[in-house]
Amino acid sequence: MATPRRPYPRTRLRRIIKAHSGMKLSKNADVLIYLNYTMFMNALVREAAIHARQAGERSFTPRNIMKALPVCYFACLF
Amino acid sequence: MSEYYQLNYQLNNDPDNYLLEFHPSGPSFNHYRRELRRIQNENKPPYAETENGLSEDDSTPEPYSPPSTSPSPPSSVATMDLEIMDMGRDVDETPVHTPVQRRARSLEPSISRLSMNTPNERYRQNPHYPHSSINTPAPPTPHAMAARRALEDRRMAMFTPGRTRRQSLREQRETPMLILRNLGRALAPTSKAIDSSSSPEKPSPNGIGNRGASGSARSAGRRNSDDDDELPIDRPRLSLPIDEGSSDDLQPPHSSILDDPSNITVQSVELPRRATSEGPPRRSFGYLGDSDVTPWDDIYGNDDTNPDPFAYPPGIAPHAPTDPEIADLQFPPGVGRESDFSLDMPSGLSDNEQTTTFYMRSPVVDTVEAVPEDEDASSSSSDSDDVPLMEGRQSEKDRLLEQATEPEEQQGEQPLEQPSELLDVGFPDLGDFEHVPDLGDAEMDALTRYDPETFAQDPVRPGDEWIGYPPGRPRKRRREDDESSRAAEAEAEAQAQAHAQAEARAQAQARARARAQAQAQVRVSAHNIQYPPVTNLFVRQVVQHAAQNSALGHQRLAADALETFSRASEWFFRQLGDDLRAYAGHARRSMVEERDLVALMHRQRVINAEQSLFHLASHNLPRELQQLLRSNNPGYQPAYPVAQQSGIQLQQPLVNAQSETVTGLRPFVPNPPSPSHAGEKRKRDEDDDGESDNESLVFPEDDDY
Repeated sequence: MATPRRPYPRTRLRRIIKAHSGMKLSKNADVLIYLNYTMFMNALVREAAIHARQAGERSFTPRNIMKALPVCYFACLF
Repeated sequence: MSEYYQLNYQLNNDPDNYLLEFHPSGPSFNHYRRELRRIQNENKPPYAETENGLSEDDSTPEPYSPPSTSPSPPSSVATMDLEIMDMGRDVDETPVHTPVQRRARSLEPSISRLSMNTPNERYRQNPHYPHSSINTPAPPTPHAMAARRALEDRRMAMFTPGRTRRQSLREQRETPMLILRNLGRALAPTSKAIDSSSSPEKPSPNGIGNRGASGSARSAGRRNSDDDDELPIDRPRLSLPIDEGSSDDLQPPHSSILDDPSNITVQSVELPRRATSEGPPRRSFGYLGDSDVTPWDDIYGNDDTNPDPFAYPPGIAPHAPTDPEIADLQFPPGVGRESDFSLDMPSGLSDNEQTTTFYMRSPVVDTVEAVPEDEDASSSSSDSDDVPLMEGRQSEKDRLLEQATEPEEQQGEQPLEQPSELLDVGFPDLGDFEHVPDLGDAEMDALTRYDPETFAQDPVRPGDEWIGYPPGRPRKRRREDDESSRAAEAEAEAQAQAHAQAEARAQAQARARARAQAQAQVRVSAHNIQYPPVTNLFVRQVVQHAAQNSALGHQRLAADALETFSRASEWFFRQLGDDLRAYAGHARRSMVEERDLVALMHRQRVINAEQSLFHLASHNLPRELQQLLRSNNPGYQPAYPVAQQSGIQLQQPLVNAQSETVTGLRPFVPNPPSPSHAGEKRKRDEDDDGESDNESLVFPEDDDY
């Protein structure tokens, strides 16, 4: 039986957050972390697409993403 | 023609018959038409009266076409009225009044269809269902009317193919150019050519026309040497004649404001300037050739033998330049100040090329300021905003000196100065330095050993790829350098390029290997805990999902973009870990819980009054994860403003969630904690923090995701 498609690498995400926070994670916190990460990526992609369109490029370039990144940080975290 | 006469005949004899033939239904038109006809006939000019007697003119053809003999000249008021009345008629009917010149216009159907159709016809309804909208056409909106008009126009254009033929050709016959040409032809045998007012100069060896004064005074020897073997091209005249004695009494214009001794405020007049970098390269001094010939007398006309008032720049002239001593003081012949206004050749032409393309260049500096005697004095006494100008002047002087010393190497040398400046300009983004600690020792060494001078002088140096930089721009610059040096030396360049390509390939491989190693390597966080990196596959999946969410469609992700995305997500996770640690530490917990995340998302403005957590989850998470969020019950309340450790009860979060989703309340509005659970400590699962939750999860996990 084929395993269902995993939405995200759960253990890896938990390990990353645990390493960065230095704390343990409760049982389903990683779902919310994944949700938060999805939201962040949404914002990042949106901003990067705006920058890419302004620069006249068809797909993302690292420059666009780097330009969009502080905006997303500020939009998300402040 | 015959039709026309017949029409006239019928009009004169029996208008009623004629009109009734075309209007059997309505005599209301006829009445007015008849009246107008009558008025028209009464006001007819006398030559038209002779026309109306048809008999004698019938046999002899008219020298002119009928429009000129029309009973209604098209400019008369009566014709206008008739035309207006014609517009009210149907298109298919022949209009009564048809001036032949205007037939095309009067046949244009513009409003006729609409006005002819009765409302009953137009809005005919289904008789069985009188109020139904089945057979009722749409009411005539302006767009519909315009479309219908366009259709009719096209149809009429189809039916009258000769519309363009009927246009009057008078404009084409009588253009002003034609009139002038005819005049010229008429006057040609009697008139004489006007003598030129320019100076009767000696003809040049080729017998070509006049030469400009500056050119004549400038380089007599070179002209004699060069012009003999030149193509016989007409030389343009560069200036007005200056060697005629008649212009001696003309004083050069100068401003009276500056001469006024009581004038204190206006010391100088500022003329428009141009940045030295904008204009063409100032090669005037080099172009003017021999250094012993001072070009100022040519250009400014300071020579008392050649006072040329028109050679001044189009502005306000310097003070009293007619005095030769002052002129000598101002422009000492040894210094040879660069010109502000000169004849220039477009860049790209070498000096000894004599071409006919010159252009006048406007002065860069205002010449009203007294020009100091020395360059140093000028740079010291100049204003602060003149400093870049002076620097430009100075640098230009240096460049001219360089040109004087090695004139043929200037083309190859100029681009070599640029890369050191471009290095400062094109500084990379701040985020790119994140990559630097990831570099190996050798790469860091290469970065620190980097020298701009060597970069400038050896553009084909292959090894220096900037590692942390965005890969587009520095590489492009290196390619420019390659081109510039390729112009200088081709074969060594090719060899070096092959070498560079090989090395670049090797470097790319090495970089790919280093990247793979960096992927494989276990990273260590700030808390000294190892953690795996985010997989590229996961990042790509999330990015593409986000792109689809934000209506960008499916986007191809380049490798470098994906790399940047994963780097960004790594920073994000680092920041997230720090924040979660701060939240949990603030609550004196040693475990990050869901409420910390909820609080964080509130702070991030991801969750607000309009968008609850469950709303977000239902939009962004797959269903099984939503179920996880729902069934597992962390009481998704943030830890503030009231400590709600009592929200453990199984039903309560569900109730909370439903009430939030239904009423859209602000989620962190504190629900009154039930007093029965107020003092209860939260019982924590023992296995929820370790890796042991793998088997309890829905999704089996392996690290090579």
